[in-house]
Amino acid sequence: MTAGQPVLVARAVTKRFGGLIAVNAVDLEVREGEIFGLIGPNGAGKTTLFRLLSGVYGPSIGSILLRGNEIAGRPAHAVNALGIATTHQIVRPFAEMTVEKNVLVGVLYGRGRLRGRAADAEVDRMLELTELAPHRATLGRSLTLARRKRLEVARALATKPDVLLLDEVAAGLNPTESARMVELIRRIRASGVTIVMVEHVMKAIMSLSDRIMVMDLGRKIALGTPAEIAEDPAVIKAYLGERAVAS
Amino acid sequence: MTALLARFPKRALLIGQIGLVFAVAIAIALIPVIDERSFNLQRITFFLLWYAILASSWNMIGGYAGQISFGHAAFLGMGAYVTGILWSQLKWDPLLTLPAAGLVAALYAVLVGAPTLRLRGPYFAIATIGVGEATRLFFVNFDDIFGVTLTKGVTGISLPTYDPVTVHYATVVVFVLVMLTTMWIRAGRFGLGLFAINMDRDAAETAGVPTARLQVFALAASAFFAATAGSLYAARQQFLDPASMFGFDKSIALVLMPVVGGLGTVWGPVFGAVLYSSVQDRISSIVNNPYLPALIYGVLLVVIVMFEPLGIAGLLGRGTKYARALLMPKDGDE
Repeated sequence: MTAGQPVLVARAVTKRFGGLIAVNAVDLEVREGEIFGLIGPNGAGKTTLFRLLSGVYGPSIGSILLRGNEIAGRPAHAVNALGIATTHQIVRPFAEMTVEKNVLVGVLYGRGRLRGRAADAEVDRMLELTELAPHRATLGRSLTLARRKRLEVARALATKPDVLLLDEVAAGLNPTESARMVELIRRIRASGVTIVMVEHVMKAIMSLSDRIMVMDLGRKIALGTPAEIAEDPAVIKAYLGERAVAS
Repeated sequence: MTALLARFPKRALLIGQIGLVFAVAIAIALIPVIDERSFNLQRITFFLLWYAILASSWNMIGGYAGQISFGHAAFLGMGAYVTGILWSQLKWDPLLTLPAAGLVAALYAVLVGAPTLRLRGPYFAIATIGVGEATRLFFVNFDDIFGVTLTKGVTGISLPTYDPVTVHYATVVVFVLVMLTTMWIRAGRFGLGLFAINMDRDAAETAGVPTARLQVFALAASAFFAATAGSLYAARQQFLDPASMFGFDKSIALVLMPVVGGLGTVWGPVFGAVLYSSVQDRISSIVNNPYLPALIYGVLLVVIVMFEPLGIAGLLGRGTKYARALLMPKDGDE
């Protein structure tokens, strides 16, 4: 995969919660059209970093630029309007709305500014892409986990982002469902959307990512291709402990 | 409008909805025409529509966006007093003051809503209790604060006389406007955003919904119509006092009607208003105990909410497919 221009750049981003530093002076540079993986042990600060990138939290220090536009400190809907959409680690469908209306929220309030029949057509397209079309009339609360995860993706993608943040969309899925999700992510990237993903399912993230950043205790400890990351002593130490490196 | 948004998949049902509003409006408008001495029926139907306007306006923020206001009497009373003052002091025609009263209350709603609607969970509801009481006390002490003689404190103000039949027609018009507005919200992009906020505010925000702005708009629209109801009351009763306009019992009534009738539905608040005003009226005319209507209404509230969360609209909608689509077009029922 040829590396494009930097599209999403974070500089020395820090987030403190009282005395806890969840994200500590992290630099990040995501390039146009790539799949950028983010891994790390529990509590490494991955989800907090995602919330900073999507505008759910504002950083304590640092700056986040999307194509040169500062997003730090803007509310989440404004960040979405600039071109970053996110899924939620713990799925959050609109429970009493049908699947199609969940997606319609993203279409009508997204950057496409679609209305009327064009909006309906876009909903149809999203449902086809995420294989949710047969379940379009099902209420959000009645979906299985795998479908809820795909609905998260559909709703976020419906807002027409430049950068899509995927927070553990394969977690909790069985191997078949997980493989379908991997396929879906490939299709989304092929459509020109840059992807940043957090994932604990190693098979998924190793096979998908062009580059991977590893975090531990709020800091960036490594950055490289999946092959480089797998060999990196700092990464092995963070995941498996000191002795694993020594042996 | 997108086909997905139209909650009435058949055009006939949408026409049916609008037709129902006009049928009710025309029937009530004809009462003084058919019998100009039907004073009692005019009074009953005035209050029926009056409560329906109030309940529907409350439903815009409480039912659609899910932000429960226990202080809506603030907007009702503000509308009544704006009309009272413009009418008695500046000699405006009271019905011409309706837009002014609505706008003042809408501005006030923006002012109090911008900070309080950011609150989560039950805290907005709690804040509105404070807003309601503070507004009442402000109007009670208005003259002392500004050194004028305008609201006359707890004694209230007497207003000039005005033709009740004209007010009757004006009330019908406001009723139609509030119903068309609530249907427009319910079926459009704005309403979809409010429902999204109601179900999960954070998810709505990340899906691009400007949640703060939408909620403030909804509260302002709600306050606008609640205030016009206050104006209509002033024109009809020709007397205003803080206890009856700003009373906490009024705020509570505004919550109970939509809850009993069917939260977030178009017709639920109207059903709630019919039940509420008829219980008020019937019982008070039979037994002279001021607490009995509240007691009966309270029991009805518990029974209805226990068996049907969508209230009377939900109960009536159980009948046929068409009744369901007409009365409680909720997702999953279509």
